[in-house]
Amino acid sequence: MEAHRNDRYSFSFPSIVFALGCAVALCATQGRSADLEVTAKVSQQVATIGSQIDYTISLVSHDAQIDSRQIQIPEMPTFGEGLRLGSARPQTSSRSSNLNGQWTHELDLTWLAVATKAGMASISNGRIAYRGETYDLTPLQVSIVRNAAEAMPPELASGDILPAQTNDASMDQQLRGKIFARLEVSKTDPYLQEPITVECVLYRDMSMANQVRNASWEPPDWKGFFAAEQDASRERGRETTVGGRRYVANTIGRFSLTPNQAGKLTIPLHAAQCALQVQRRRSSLFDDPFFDFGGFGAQLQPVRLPIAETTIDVKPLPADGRPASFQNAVGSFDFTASVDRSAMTTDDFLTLRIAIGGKGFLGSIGEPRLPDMPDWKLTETPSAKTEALNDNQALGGKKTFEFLLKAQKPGALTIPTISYAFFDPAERRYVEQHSDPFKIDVKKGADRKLLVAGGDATERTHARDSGGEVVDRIAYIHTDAPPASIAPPFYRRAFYLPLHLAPLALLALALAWRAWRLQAERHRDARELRGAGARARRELRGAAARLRKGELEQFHETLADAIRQFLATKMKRSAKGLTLEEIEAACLERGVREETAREMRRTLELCDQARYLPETVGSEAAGQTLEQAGRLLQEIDSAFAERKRRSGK
Amino acid sequence: MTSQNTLPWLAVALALALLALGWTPARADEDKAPFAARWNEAAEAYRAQDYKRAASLYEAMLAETPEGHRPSADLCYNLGNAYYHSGRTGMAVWMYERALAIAPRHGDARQNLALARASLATPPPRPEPFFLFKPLALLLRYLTAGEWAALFAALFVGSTLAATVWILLGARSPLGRLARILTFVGCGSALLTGAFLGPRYYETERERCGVVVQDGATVRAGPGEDEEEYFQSAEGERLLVDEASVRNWLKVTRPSDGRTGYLPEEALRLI
Repeated sequence: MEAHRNDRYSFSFPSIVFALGCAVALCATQGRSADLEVTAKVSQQVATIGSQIDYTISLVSHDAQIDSRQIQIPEMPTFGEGLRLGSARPQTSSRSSNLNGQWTHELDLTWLAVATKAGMASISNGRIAYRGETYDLTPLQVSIVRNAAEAMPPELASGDILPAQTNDASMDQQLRGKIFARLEVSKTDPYLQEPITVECVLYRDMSMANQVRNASWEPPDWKGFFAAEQDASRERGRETTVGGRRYVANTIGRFSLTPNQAGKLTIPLHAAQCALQVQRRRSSLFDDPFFDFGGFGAQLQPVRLPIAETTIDVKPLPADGRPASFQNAVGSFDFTASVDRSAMTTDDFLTLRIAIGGKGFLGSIGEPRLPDMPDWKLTETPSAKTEALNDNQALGGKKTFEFLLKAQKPGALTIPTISYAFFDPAERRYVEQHSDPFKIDVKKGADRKLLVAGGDATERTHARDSGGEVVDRIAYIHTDAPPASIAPPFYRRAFYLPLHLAPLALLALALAWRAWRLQAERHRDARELRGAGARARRELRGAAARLRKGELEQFHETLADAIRQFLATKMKRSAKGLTLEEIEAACLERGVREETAREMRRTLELCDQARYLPETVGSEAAGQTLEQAGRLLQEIDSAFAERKRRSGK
Repeated sequence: MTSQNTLPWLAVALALALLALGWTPARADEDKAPFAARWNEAAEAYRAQDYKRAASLYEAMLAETPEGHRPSADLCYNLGNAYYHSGRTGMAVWMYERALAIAPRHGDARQNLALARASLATPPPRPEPFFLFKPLALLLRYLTAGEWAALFAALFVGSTLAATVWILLGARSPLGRLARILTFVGCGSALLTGAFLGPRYYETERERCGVVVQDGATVRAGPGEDEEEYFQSAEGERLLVDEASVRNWLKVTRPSDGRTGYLPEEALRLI
């Protein structure tokens, strides 16, 4: 039978090491005790007989969750006379939260106890153990009173705190000691002009911390004080103890007060208001609480919280040790002085700037007194600028004074040390600070003192005319009133562009007109050229008519005119002054045969001769001349046309 | 006279009529009386050596300049004088520069500007043009951009009308020949004027200039107090200003050396 090795139960060496490592890690984790905070507390430190008191042990860890099974109580605190433990086993509650990546785990163990006897009952210290670590519990005390009246804070009983008021007397009784408001003053004996802070704080019992709504405060008349309100809207509630009782306190208003007179100043009686969310019982079946404010039977009960009168004892500033440079400034300040230039002329002005800043009432800072400066003249009233923190002069800030000085002579002048003193209420003494002297190099200026102040252009002109030294002095103002304003530049006027476009348009029209005119002339010339032949034939017919009538002189005249006009038209010139040589030359130029040109010339000569010597030419010869003229004109016309056709004109 | 000859004259008459239509008479200042009264009041304050009050009165009048209009050069000049006597030399330089921008031939403003600059503890640097270009630069700045534009318009319109007459009449007639001469002369002059008008227009309308009014104002490499210091500007110095400002810081350029940096808005006044 073959032996089988069962792989399921065989372990390799690496797996063994891994398992051991995990076990070590697990034990290390389990064995390490959590970073734990342990506290013991009671729900109320003042209780009435028969009321329930919770005794709670809280464990808080930022590391790991708290395991309640790991908790042991080796020594349970004992409850003294007047307290009876109601349950042996505690109630456990736990919660975890994460804030900015940090976990907080809390676990509470709560025991119930009942107050049984009036007096001071104590709960002894005890010990609690968690994962082997033991923690000691602090002993506690609870004041047990016979009734609610005795449960009020002693301040309420003495009148420093006034009870809340509603329109329900029974509710007033219930609220006694559970909710009230009072003024908290930072200092009740300030110096004159030393700012103090006054807060109106609303206190409410821990059990009704979430029932209070719409808390508000109407501050009183701050007679004798300079008051500036501060923002208290972001104040969060805090737990505090008043008269041995724990409350949640909220600041609902804050003022900075600066006393402006010494002696006892009283902040009078006034009040704050709030509303309390209370459960309302249904008065009938038809009274549906669903529609009440807050739903399900809750309603807001207005509550008036009177605030007792407060006295502030304002101390005057001590007279002893008061420096001469003291200007009523109260606070903790720094004093600096500066000038805007180290070199100037006698015409220039020097700005001396003095800044006083720090914590205190800025309104108390008076104008610094300048030392005696014979070389300098103060030209005008100094200006002051105040920069307060949060716009509240009582919180401090900076006040700056500017002096405008003029040098009275050239040279190396000095602005001497300037001193400034203030009263520091924290140190209860006067403090005086000094600036360093300033050395200024002053050169001679243009000596404007010699000028007549003001004047007008006329005076300047006269001065110039008289040959005075006007050129090196500043000229006077002009006194003739000019126009209130000058029109915009020329190119911004609306008509500027049209002004340029209009003549361009005109120019374009002129060019168009000229082009049209040239075209018309060319057409006219062409028309005349085309009609020259017909006109010549018409005139030859006229000449023939005259020949038939026997008017030889008129015949030759008409014939010569017809030939000349025809040739002049063809030559595009006037017939007047056209000579025979020009005619012949023009014909030859235009491709007419030489013989034809000569014949044309002879014909014209014959016509001229016949005009002046008509008896030398008979009718028959005249007829031949007419015929020849017609033929010649036709030849010339053809030659001209041929020439034009060849030249493309 | 033939219809061909009457047409050119009709065209010339039409051109003159168009020119006449484009004429806009100077608008009368409706509020002259109250302005004159305040002017006299300011002059009285100046005479009484109450320069601060005089300056504030002139400033009030300056602030009332209507949108699109310019203040009178005399107003800027007088305000500059009031600033000067109040010891605010940088502001005085600014006002004199402004007066000269409006009226370049204002002799008193020019004289006072020179005096004010000389009186500063650190006289501001002044970029000078190349010596050959100096006469041209003087001529360029002798007239305002508006005056150059008016001159250009007159020459342009004149030469265009002369050309029109020349075309209509031809060069044969004496008037036509005269028109031809006027056309060439006018065109040439208009071109020359345009060559001055262009840079002057750019200087006036496109280029932003300012005067430093604070002594020792620091020009920084970037817009912020924590930026590196680049150079110190002198009170009364003229700087070129870029179009956009960044978080109340103006981008400026010094013309003398071309250095560019950022200056707080309150240290400079635009001309």
